[in-house]
Amino acid sequence: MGLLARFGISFMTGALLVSVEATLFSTIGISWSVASLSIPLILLSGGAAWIWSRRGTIVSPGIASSRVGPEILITSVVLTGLSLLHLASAFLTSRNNSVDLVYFWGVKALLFAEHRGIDPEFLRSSFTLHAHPTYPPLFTMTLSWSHLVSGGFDWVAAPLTSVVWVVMAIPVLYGLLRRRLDQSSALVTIVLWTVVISISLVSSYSGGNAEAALLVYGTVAGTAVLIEAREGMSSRFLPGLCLAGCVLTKVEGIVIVGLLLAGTALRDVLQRRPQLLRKSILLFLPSMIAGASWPIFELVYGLRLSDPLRNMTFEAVRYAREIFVESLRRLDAGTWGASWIIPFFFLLARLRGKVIELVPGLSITFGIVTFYLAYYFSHYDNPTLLIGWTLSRVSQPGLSMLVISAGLAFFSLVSRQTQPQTVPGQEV
Amino acid sequence: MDRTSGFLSDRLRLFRKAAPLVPRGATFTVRGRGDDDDMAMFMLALGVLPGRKANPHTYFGGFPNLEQESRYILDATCGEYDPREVRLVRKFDEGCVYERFGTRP
Repeated sequence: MGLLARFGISFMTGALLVSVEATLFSTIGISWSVASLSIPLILLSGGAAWIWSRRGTIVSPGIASSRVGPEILITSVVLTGLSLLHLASAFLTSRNNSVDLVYFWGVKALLFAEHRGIDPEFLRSSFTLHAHPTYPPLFTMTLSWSHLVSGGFDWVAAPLTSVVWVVMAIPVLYGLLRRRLDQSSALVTIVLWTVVISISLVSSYSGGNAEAALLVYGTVAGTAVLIEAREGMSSRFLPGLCLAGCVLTKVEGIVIVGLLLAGTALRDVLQRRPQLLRKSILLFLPSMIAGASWPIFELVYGLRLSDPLRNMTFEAVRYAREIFVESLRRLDAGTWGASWIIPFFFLLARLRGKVIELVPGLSITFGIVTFYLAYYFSHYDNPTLLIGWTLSRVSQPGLSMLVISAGLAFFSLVSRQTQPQTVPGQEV
Repeated sequence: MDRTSGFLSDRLRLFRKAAPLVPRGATFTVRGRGDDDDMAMFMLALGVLPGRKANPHTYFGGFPNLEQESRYILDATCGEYDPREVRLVRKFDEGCVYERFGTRP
């Protein structure tokens, strides 16, 4: 992968590691500071870099480079630039920010940073139920970290972190897609992804909440699994790490882990891929280890493990019509549904012979929508308002994987199989 | 926030203007134009006025009765209070800051 892609992966890894570390520090009573949090991670990074420089790593050869026509290049640069400008300006002007930033994401980040640790008293209080005390800490920690580094919490700049997640994902996803697509196809797919996701994040008022982080972790994990070669031993390091990021970003991250794990196992069984159990464990293990840090903290401080605001009764079954109508309305993704419909047609157009290969990606797309429909049916009353508040946001990892899956289905050379090689000292 | 929610931006301005008048460590409560407004103000105040102890006037429709324990009242409606118990500290376009006599910080 190129330098920018590696920078993007470093960003995602850093956010994950600092969250796990900060949670562990709070569990054992070590105060947060820039030095206390950064020194162990710098040492860890140095050690990992030294080890990786000495051992062979799996290198996927990818598709040979082909020249990208100037018209594709210029169009891609213009569309990507405009999309990111649209995203950044919508969030910087507060036009499309999430009110949850000022209600709890930012509040927790600021208070924890000032407390120099996760404050169990705040999470235990009867008057902070609205702050979802059981939510995992990753996104809060990234904001707390910026507060610690800068010495203050900037409410206006905080929503821009959502843009940073998207920007960091672009080179990573492009680098992954290049292993299965030629340059032009990978470029077209990643531009379509950027346009669709930028519009969706704006229309779903996702500035300053954890949606961008979750969809980026989920999409990188899903794409890394989708582009795995059929034979040989592909590295599950990156998707495993990103699934750990999903689990620690939002509770819904557990759903993404379950869906991708099931979809990947199904593909591997149907395609008789080798080492099914070992590879499944490698995919799942990081999320289990990193994810455990949060319930351990909750248990140590005697905090509740489940959200009291989420009682399930399935009394909403009688509102089936309202649920379907409102859900369809809220899946418009800021484009009257075109962001779902167009990739879906691209997918259908070239699906023959590729269904099984695409199961991991499509399991997230269809699984997440199905999961939320079931969630709405489990509501204690008419969930129309709840759907309005949530579906356009929480469906985004599914939309994201639909675009990536459609790009791979439409452009990929049929069942191109390459054997990964082990080269000492080469980049992954 | 102006564009996401006009009414919340007014509350935010009130808190920002009130911040120098409510010392760190002090207790305060918030009053708006009804339950939802009270709740929104309380959630917002936790982040905008850190270092103080915020007491909700209304919380998910319940009344915790913490007003008597709150030294300051940040009231978006500039409502009337008994002058023997409460004094007006400052009036702004977005609301008023009151201080309750005889309440510990």
